[in-house]
Amino acid sequence: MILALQSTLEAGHLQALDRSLMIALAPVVILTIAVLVLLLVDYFGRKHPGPQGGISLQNASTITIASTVLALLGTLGTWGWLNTLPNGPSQGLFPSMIPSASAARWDFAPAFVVDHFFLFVCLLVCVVVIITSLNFIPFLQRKERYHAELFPLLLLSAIGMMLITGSRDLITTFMSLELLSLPLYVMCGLNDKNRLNKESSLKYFLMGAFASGFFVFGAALIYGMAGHLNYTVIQNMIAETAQSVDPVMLIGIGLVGVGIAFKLGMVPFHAWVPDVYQGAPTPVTAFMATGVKVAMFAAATRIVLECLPGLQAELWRDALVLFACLSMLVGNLFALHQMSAKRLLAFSAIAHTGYLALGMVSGTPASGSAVLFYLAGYTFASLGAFLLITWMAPDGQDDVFLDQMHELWQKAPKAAICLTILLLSMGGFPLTAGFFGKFVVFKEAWLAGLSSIVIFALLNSAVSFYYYLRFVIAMYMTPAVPGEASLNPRQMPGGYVFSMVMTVGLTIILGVLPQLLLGALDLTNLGS
Amino acid sequence: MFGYAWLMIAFPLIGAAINGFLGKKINNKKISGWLGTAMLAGSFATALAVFFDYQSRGLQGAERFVEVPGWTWIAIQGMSERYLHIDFALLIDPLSVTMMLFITGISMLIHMYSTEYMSHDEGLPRFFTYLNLFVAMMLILILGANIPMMFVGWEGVGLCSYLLIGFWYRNMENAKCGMKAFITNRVGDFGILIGLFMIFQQFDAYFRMHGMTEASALDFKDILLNANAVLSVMSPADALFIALFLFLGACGKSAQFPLHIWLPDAMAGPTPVSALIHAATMVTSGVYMVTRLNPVFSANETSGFIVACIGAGTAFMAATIALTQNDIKKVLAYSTVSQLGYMFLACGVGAYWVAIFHVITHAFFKACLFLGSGSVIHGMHEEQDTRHMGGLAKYMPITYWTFVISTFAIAGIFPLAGFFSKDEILWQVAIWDSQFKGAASFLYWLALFTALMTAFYMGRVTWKTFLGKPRWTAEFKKKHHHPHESHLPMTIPLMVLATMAVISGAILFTPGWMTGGEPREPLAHFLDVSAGGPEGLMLYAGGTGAMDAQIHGEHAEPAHGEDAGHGAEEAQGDGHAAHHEPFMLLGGSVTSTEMIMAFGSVLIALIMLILSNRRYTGDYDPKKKAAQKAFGPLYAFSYNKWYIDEIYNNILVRPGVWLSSKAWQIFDVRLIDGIVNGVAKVLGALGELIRPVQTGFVRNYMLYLLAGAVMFMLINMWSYLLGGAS
Repeated sequence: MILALQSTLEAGHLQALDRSLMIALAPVVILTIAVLVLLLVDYFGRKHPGPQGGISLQNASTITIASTVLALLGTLGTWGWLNTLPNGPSQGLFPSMIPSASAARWDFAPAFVVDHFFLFVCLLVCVVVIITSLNFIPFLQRKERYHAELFPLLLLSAIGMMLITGSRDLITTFMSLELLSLPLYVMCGLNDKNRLNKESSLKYFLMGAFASGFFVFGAALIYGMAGHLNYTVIQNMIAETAQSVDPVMLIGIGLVGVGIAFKLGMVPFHAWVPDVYQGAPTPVTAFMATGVKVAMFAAATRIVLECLPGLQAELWRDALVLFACLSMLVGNLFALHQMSAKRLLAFSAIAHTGYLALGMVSGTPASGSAVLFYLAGYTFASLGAFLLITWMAPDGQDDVFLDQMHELWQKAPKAAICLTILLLSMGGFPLTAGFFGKFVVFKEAWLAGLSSIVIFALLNSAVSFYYYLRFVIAMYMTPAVPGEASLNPRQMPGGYVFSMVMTVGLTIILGVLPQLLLGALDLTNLGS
Repeated sequence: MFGYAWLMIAFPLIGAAINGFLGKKINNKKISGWLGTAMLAGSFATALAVFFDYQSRGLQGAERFVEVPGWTWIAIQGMSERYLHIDFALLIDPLSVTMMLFITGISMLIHMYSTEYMSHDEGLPRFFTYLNLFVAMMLILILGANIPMMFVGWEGVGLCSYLLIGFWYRNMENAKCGMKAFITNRVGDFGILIGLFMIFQQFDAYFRMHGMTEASALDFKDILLNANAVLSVMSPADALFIALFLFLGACGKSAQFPLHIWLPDAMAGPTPVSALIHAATMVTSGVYMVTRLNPVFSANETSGFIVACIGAGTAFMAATIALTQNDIKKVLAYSTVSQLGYMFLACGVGAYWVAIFHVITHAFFKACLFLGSGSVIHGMHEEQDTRHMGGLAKYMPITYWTFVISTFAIAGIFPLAGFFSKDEILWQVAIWDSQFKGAASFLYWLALFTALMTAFYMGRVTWKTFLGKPRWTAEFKKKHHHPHESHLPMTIPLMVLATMAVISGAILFTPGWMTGGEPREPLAHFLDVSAGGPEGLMLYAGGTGAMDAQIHGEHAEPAHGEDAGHGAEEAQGDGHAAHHEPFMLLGGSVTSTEMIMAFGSVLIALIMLILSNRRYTGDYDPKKKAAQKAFGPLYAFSYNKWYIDEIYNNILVRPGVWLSSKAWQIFDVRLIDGIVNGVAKVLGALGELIRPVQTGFVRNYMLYLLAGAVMFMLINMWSYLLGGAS
């Protein structure tokens, strides 16, 4: 951002800059202020140092939700404002700073771009934060363990998610990646008395640190070859040497790919996913499963579309396609017989990573918007499902087992119907958002010539219905055996009701009227 | 241009939403009922505004199809450059304007009627929710600008119909009737889907071949304006199949043989539902669809002939059944089936506007009859058997007189509405000019004989109900002493509808022998472009679009608007004279033949009404079973509805049940389950096999990560070396 500032100064756009920058980065700016406010209020509110006192759960969550709603509105405002820019809606902000061929300007090349792609991810992240916060409140009230750092961490991670999508520079990407990850490591260990939480936190941290090393090393190799970290420069460099690309460059791309694939949870970098998802507090799991996936896929798609177009697809794609197929296969196979709902959804998330990766590697002009549509559908379904799991979980247990769900239909019909819709959407049932998500992603992959892989993916998504329908069978068709541990659903708090209406409603609306979003996403197409 | 037409659909949808979500909270039947009615009043007002607006614009030729854009529903780029575009859009054209006027108008009246009729029912908000939703769906059906939208409406009205037939779902019989309607309609839907897919396939192929990127094969306007061009290059078998599959769909919705069986059972629903859905509106959507896609049916004389035969046959069959039924609503139900048969007869002989004409007049008098029967049922406290009625005229004068007027209208007594529409159908059959002209004379006599029976059974049910000695059950007499006339909210709709049953025919059409020259045909002129009138035919042939006139020489007619208009007038002028002669000439001239035929049918109807009056008043007593004794097997045949339900049960249902249970045993249990379980077992075993991989140890996970990274590098290098080699 500093670089961007500098180059704007040079271009003599000082007048436009300060205002534009604030508008353009509205979501990030607002959330950053919120983090500061939360921390300061907490600090000055304490009478004694130590874990006691500090900002109350209610105040912290209120500030968080209010500021995120504000950020959401700000994002919408920026979305409209971008359209009014003279260079047209498709260019994104700071077009004058996108480096031209002249070498002198490369040093000041921008590290960041604000375009509709970025803004849409901001919207999704805001929704994720709002619903996660709503999810946290009753969860924490029930568990009676609450740390004041929680909400600032949540927001910091969200800021990282936003920044990584707009980043156009490997260093900025790396910084955002760490900003996104570090708070999550802490949040996974939310309850320091809970063994599972601690295990989850430590595993995630160790693995994450390991994977980050790959990313940085890859970035260093790329820097060595291209002489720069900016995407456009890398793209130009690759395009110039397309005929004789250096193998070191390929290794660099591969290592960066490993770093990202780890975060995405692609097989064989996935091993942490089930353990961490299951061990983390459920609201954190929901946040990880949706927010991280959205941000990392957006970042990966931007790299594919803005760094790699000049490169022959075979040179970088084959490994990722293989990993995508493995992800689908392994995710679905492992999910088949899981009894823990969280672990099952973790494996299903790995399978979804496989489908999404197909869209990402297809590299067609519309693949960006296709991936975003899929992400939106997946986010809503996943958020809703994890929310219901949090709500259903019996006391003293932060998970639900499938055999505890027997006769849920009789006990809580509305929740059962909601969960059914959300799971059907994950499976890709027509008239849900998940169906159109799969449709557009597979269509892009097909257009990119991956037809046999698409057929493989379709078979896989057919298999996935097996375990999604296991929920349905458990909820509707299996009678509870007397004496068997079964759920005793509690009253649903207002925040949950709101979240359910939002997620289920959006799932159905996007399934029936996909054009509402597909039309808007036309603006988010990336690429040259 | 007509953006506000969306209001028409929005009003009932809002009503349905309020009653559906807040009905229980409001907990006031008066508010719920009148809210629903007010919404329909809004719809009707909008429809009127659209109509006058449409008229005042004086649109000509292809302009008469006005598309009202809504928003894009689905837009998907296919493999080629063409987009598959499905919009929420309305088509305002003469046909939809005509339909929406009477649909909103009659719906409004029936909603008003229902506020009183259903006032004792606990489920009143639910009732009005369904009813409002139905109207919205019906309007989507007729106003939709493309095939998917029509299909949404088509299924939507089906759903509402199903919900309303089973409205009193606690009674298992009613729920079964709902299911019967649902299943029968699925057969029809199979037909209409295949037909619509074939239309899409054929038109899309044509548009693609000729680079017409703007045209959409789902859009009615584009389909109609390019109809002849596409149909002429289509193989005749395809054209015939499209027409027949579509007609199968129409048979399902409009209760034509062999799919008519659900409609009489649909009378299990509340009577206003029977009036609105199963008489006046939904069941005519088959006629609407055939008219909407009329070039497809006109393309092939064989398909027209089949439609006409099914229509006339159904009309005849239903009329014979109606002769012996005792339930007042069953008689009306079979009468509806019979009248729908007339409409398809008109469609079959290519007189689409006449079919729509009969749709309109029938909607008025049949709605009036049904509401009248509802009033009787209400007054008699849920008694539906005419054998236990009689002598009601004294206690229910308004119901009686409106019922009599409508009976006369349906019987075709001059100058009531039914006379004009039914007689015009008979006349169009008589002058049908095709290779099946010989057979058409048979259809004429069949339809005329049906008219005779219509007059008799309608007379029978009317006189039996209202005149003669009271034959009320002892229980009824003890409890209620005598029936009572219904309140104003119920009688006002009756009076309005009866008035329309009197005047609507003469307003919309006057035959040539009455005017002493040219026939006065405002409806025909209005519907021209949509219903295959002379100008419409020119449009379908590319008359004003003139895109393909040169390519397909045989359709190259004068392309200019003025010429087309002129030609239209000429064709209109001699439509009744020159090349359309009736199959027989009475009195030497066409005009006198028409007049004699008309007088003949009125005379027959009058005689039948008088006969039935003599038979069913005075000392008529159903206990004597005079008719059973006199006609024996014929009576039983009619009374048992030609045994069609039994035939279906023995031929289709029972073998179907047997077959499906066998299939279940063989395919499902052994084959499918075997495969599925086998696959699950294999996958499960595989899962067990790789489960140890998930050790839980970070050191193992890191090893996987490293292995993956190495694999990544190796594959990249492999590709690099391959790429380098090439």
